[in-house]
Amino acid sequence: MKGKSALILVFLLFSMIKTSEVFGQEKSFLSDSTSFVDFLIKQGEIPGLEFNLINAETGIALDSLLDPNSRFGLFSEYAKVLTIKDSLFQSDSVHAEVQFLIYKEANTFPASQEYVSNLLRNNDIEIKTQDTLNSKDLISLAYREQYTPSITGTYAYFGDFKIFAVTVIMSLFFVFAFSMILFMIIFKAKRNRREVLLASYDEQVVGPLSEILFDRSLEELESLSDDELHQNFPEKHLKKQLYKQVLVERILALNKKMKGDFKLKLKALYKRLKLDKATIEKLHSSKWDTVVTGLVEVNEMDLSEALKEVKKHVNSPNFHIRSQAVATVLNLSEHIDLSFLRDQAFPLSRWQQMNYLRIIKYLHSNRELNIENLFDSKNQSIRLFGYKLVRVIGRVDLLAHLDTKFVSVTDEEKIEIIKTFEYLAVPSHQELINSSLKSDNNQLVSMAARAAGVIGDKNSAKLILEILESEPGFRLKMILLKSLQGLDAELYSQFVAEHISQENQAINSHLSDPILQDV
Amino acid sequence: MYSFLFYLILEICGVIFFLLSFSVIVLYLLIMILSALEMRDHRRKNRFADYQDIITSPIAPGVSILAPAYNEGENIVQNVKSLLSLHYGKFEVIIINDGSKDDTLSKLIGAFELEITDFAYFEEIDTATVRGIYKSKNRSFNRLVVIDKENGGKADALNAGINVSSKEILACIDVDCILSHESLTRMVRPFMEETNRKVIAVGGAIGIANNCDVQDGTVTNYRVPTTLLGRFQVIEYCRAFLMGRMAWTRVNGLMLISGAFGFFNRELVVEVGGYFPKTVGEDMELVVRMRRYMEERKIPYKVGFVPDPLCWTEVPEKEEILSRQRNRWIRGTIETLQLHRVTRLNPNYGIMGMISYPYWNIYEKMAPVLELLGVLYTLVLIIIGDFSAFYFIALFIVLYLLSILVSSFSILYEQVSYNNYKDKKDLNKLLLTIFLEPMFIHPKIVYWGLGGHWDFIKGKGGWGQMIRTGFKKSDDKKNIEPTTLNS
Repeated sequence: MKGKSALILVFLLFSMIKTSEVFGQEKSFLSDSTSFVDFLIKQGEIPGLEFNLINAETGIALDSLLDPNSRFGLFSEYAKVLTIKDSLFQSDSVHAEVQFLIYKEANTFPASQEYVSNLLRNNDIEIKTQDTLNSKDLISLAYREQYTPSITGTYAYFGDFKIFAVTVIMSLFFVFAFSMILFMIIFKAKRNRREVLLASYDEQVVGPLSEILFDRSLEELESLSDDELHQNFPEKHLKKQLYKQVLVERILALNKKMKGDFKLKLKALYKRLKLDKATIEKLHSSKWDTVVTGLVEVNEMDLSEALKEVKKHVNSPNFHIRSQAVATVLNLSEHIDLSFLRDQAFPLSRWQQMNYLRIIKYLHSNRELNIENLFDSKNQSIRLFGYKLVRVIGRVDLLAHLDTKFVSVTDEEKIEIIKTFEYLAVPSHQELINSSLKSDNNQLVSMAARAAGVIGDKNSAKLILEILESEPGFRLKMILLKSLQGLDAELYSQFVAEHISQENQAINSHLSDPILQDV
Repeated sequence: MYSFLFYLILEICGVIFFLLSFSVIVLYLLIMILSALEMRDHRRKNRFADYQDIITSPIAPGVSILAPAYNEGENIVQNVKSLLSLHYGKFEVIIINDGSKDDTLSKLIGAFELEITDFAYFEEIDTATVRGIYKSKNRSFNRLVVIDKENGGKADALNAGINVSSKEILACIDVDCILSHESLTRMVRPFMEETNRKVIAVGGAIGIANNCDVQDGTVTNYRVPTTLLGRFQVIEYCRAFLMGRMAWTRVNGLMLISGAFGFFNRELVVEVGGYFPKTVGEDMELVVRMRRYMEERKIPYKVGFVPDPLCWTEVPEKEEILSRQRNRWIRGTIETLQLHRVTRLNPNYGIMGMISYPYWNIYEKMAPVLELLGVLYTLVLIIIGDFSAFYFIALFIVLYLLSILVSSFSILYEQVSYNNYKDKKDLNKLLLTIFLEPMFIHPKIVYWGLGGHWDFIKGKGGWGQMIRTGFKKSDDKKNIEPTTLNS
């Protein structure tokens, strides 16, 4: 069995060997002497093969002096040796013979022929074709050329391109990654330095600021000469952006905390140091955050001279600029009402509403704001804000306005108006609530039911009962029952007693639980 | 013939891996650019925001904080006290005791003088049985509501909390998270700022509290964790929160909000049927479902993200626990993508369908598998002798450098924006971790991810049939039989 396998193995190995090449050893080149001599003449130099001239009679080598270019009488070209042989015969009648030397060893003609044949077979020498270039020879050359596939599975050029691309990407990444780390280290160092500098400027600023605030009067501050001022706040420092930033931030922070005379002193100092000019300059910046910084500074330092510039930003498409500009105008204008807000085209976000509300709450007691203007805005979010304002600042006198508007507004606005009625708890305008209880909009009904519990009447209770009979959803039912409980306890008890269901019992228990009164 | 096919497949694989590597590089560079822009805008906006107003403003929305607790007896009282002391006007804290086997409930009852109430519990979203709802008679703890229920998992507990909640915004958190006093005011802001789009959810960044000093519910002194795994997670969290999520927010393609700290519009959460309790990736699944709901109704919306350090958590520093976490994360991702595969490359789902979903599918879900295939491909090339050491080393170096680049960038963000790790030694330690991570930690993460894939195939956790079928519409979850849901 083993023998059989070995035999198969040998056979396979044999079949895998390039037998054509093995048998190719027998292939003969330059089979006859004539073609060999012709070849030698045409080929010129052949590596390892040299020629010598010897006297045919004596067998002694002829002197190398016959040809000054030959070394020790040896010739590398066969054609040349033949020429010299002929010339010797013609001039001196010397019969010379060509001796073949392979690697300096004298050899016979057939041995040399075999040697050259081997060189040709192994492609160790290139046949000189310059003189014989024609199509026939090309074909024969091509025939002799061993086959090598031109497509080897990979594209050499693309392969090189890939290497190039990969090298470039790698280098870029190497540079990026290490630059990033370097940048981070430099950034960290710079930041630390900046923080140290900020702390140092802060220390330099705090002392003079305290002195001015506590040791000098407003008049003294205003009458200070520039030199005196610059003793505390050096002019060279005031040219530095970071120093100025620290100073402004400090003054703004103090201004927020201080009151009365201190505030006035800070404002006077702000102007004396010409920080107000830098602030107004910021309003013209193309960067939105710089503009907002300027607006904040104008607002905090009450720079009413900048109001004209600020108003230009009230309708800015940038949310932050617009918000801050409106807040600043509201804060600084002596006579302005809310009509400018009514005409705003952009919707008001809750964030903006919250900010404006804070300012309006503070202003409404000493300024005529004409909140009712907002009810006529074309912008729904502004109208909604107006209703909220009535509620938050307690303008009961405007409820009649809202009542009039109620019929023509959207459900969303109706909900907000009812919320206002409920919040202010004025026991009037029940018709408005009762009509909403009949709505198809669940959210509006919920809100109306909630309000009915606070300011509803007998009709409201009746309507609530009607809705309860129609088996509303759990959340609405709970609101309705709670309102009914507040409106008419007897009716509520009657309903619960007559409508015994797990859901009603659960709601009843919930509403009766003292711990859950606010839930 | 076979030989030709084999080499053809190898060539195709080569091209695919080349394209994948190239796309990874391009994507990360894009993420870096987008996140840088978003971070710049966020920092600029923050300069002018006054958060004090929100605390008392009647216009600010109310927030219901939902914190499920399971066997948290050891720290529950301290954690709840911390939550009750948050600076905000209108909020309630709802603790859901999810069938704890320890003394979680009794500790809460004792510490906060709780009493069982007749709360009319209505299951807007189906949950496991609620045993009781507790409130305190003490007015100091007026904001606290405790739900005691049968164990049903985190998602189920959150659903019970949603049923009881009464405020406009839901803040879903892990009870052991440390929240900054400012967390509510800052997280509520995006809900209040938008005018043209509805903000459906807002995610928050999570910091790592290991080895840090905590005082009055806030991390006061940052230090990097002592272990390599801990430090790796610091870098990973920076990459995820300060880069990845910021970039996705820039294009409104955010699909994941961390379950440990996420804010949601209550109305919409109820509308889509709440959390899906049969997936381990309930946080991602809810966001995807909410997005689908908005896309299907063509309502303009936004998913926001706040990168400020407002919430901290302890991360696992032991391999065993971390491996389980990663296994769960990858399974959650697979399940969510499987459930919502209708959105894949579906232009009806906008950016989510066309960009976010394919990204998550290839670069998050399939990442461990592709990396494994890459290794196998390399081995095959070595065996058949077609392996090019040059390309292998070049690609390896490029990806290694990419990893360094991305990680350094995320740390740079942290330094530029918050500069929490002030000590130079900490920064050096993080830099060293950046160099070590690709070689010593990443292979483990890949291995754990593969474990997640394997467990998903085996059907561990999850809900086999439903996940195979997927949700054809965003509100399909509401139509599932409750008995099946709770089985």
